[in-house]
Amino acid sequence: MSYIGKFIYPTFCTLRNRCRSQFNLKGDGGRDLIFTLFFIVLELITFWGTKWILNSINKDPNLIFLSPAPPLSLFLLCLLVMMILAGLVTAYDSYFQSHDLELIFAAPIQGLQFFLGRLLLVILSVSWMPALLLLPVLAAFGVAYQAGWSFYLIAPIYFIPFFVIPGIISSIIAILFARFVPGDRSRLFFGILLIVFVAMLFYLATIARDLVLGREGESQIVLLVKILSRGELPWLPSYWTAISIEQLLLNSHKDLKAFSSLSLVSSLFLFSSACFFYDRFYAAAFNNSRSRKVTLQKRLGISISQLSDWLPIASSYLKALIRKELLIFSREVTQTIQLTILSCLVILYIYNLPAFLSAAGDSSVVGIWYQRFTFMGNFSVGAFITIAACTRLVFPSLSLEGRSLWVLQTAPIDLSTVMRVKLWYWFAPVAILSLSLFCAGAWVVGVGFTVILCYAFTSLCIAYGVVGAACGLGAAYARFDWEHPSQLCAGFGSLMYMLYSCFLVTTTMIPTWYMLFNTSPGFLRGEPTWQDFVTIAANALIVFLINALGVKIAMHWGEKSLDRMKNLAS
Amino acid sequence: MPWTLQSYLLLALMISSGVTSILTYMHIDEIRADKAQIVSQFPLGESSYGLRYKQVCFGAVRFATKVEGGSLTINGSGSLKVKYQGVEHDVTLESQASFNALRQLGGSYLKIESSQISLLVATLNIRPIELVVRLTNPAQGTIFSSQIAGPIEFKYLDNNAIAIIGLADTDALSNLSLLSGQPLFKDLLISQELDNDNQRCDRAQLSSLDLAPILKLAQVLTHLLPQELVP
Repeated sequence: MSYIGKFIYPTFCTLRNRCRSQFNLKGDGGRDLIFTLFFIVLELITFWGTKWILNSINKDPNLIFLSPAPPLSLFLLCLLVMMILAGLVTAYDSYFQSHDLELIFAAPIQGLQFFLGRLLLVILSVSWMPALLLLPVLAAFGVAYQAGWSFYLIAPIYFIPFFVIPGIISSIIAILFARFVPGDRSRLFFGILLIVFVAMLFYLATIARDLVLGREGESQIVLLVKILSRGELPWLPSYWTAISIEQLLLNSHKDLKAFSSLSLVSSLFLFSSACFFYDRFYAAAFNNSRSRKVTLQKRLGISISQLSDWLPIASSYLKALIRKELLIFSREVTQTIQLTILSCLVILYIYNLPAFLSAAGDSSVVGIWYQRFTFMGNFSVGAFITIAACTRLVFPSLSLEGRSLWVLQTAPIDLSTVMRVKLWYWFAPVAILSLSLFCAGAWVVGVGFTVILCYAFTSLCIAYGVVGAACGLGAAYARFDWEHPSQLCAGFGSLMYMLYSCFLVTTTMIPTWYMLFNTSPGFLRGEPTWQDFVTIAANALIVFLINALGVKIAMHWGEKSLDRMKNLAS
Repeated sequence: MPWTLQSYLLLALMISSGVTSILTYMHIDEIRADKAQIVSQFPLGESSYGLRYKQVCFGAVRFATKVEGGSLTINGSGSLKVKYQGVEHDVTLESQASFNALRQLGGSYLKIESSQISLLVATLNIRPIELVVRLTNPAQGTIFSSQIAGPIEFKYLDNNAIAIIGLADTDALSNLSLLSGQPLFKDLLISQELDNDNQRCDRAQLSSLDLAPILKLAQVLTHLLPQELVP
């Protein structure tokens, strides 16, 4: 058991040293303090928001009673899918790509001890952020359903299997995948696997869409409950946990034992399966993952990094830096997986957008307010998908330089130039993503061309802000001594980045919200007045300034942090 | 890879926990399906029922359902003839049950009126449901009240009908199912009647139903009824 603990000991030491290091309000300490305070505020907002929603639905318990299970199931289902997808990347990296594997295999550690240690790491790295997100939601459910104090003590225990299962499932998939797919084909197979996954998601989405659109005469609350009930899949741990929590909240413990036993027994089953697959397949899987035969890419004689040659850039050093970025991106299998997962999310979102927007109500009845509301809803979702993409792809880009960063430092360019190249390199794909999300949403709501143009500009500003923040904070929280790349997305820095970006997006939303509610009703239909143009121009300027300032601050933090690291090294 | 003792142990653990998981899941499936059918089939639209005891007609009721924006209202009215403490009474029935858009029973009442007595049975709220029996003539106020876990819900069936269901573990529903299983109640029939049915209950010539044995049995089995009502 002590060997298993050794695997998380370095992480524990890093955390302890960070806490013990001298607190400097002007340096990292001040920055961390601001972020921690902001995090607390965000948790409080989540708590009050969830409580408000639950109280609004259950405002008159004599008219409607919404049991806690449907919304909780849906929320937990989202978390479960997120944890499994993130866990896949982490598990594959931890078992097969990690730099310390050869060192560990040379140590006198038994196979199963290695597996258990790594499994513990996968579970912890996958579940700590969702657990933090869940805390205020759970507290809000407790308050809204007037649970006793014992609920707050007991409920977290029922979540243990829920947080353990995704890590185990990811580990099983990663081991089986590596066993049967050679390392040089892994990208291709991951692609195929994810296409199948997307096809399945599309199929499920189509069912939901038909279900929602097929009942046009039904009231808003029925549609809301139908959408909420989509998460009630009785064969999933999210449902079992939701039912257990519901029974705790409503003080009806009839099925509590049965559901918690199912969670425990299933966890045991998955755990023993993972151990068995590890025992039988790991050695062969590891060899397979290291297989480097002639790849399709080499056979065709092209490389993704050669794309930089086609760019219309005169400067040779810029071309070289972009080529380096393309190489870093293409050499990591996990980056490809992450990109594919994000693409799936975007496609799924855009596909479902018309269904949910048209299902949520008839705009002629609820009027312009509803159109504005759905418009802002799409704005938020689009912005948060962009943040998710940057957290996975842009934030770790500087850290991915790894130990070779010091080679880069010997080149005749300073690090701030490298950071700016990264910013503009990543801005292009993120801007395309952001543009498609925002414009698709605006188009679906049925607004005029002027508004779509206005939103296109806002989306570009947000993309710039979010990418810039990712580059800046990626540098501020850079880690060059990682064992595998997925460590970078699961760290404290990535949480801080998400908080910073959320703050940036929320601040951007304030003038946009103001613009929406202070323009004429004709503005949304594409018939703006000259006063509307003044409001639009003022909004565009404010949005741009907010994001430019956000980027400037983040880049400043990043540059300062890199300078400090450089001084320490020298 | 050679099979070691560890491999066999892990395989055994995997199989046994897998089987236990499946069994637990099946058990849960049974629990979730164990919802008491209060009314197994109730036609949408208008419907008439004849009330018979040992093939003799003693009453008739008529129901009409109204669906509006996802919510459902069932209105009912009827008449029956009963014998209570040796005296025959013509009783009129009036009822209404309202289900919200989430298909939950929001409230219901059944008004039972005769020349001498007037009784109101009502359910209030969704969860928990408050069951109230009130004597309005002679006015005595609430004579019985109890709580049912709830919610009672309806679900659509394929044949333009609905089923009304509630959780089986509630005491009141268990008592009702216990009562309906008795031989005395087996002779009590509620059957749907069509307009062109030759065997329809004749509203003008209803026979009376003696309430004494029914009330006695209900009191013995459920202890729900106040003692003074039982002859």
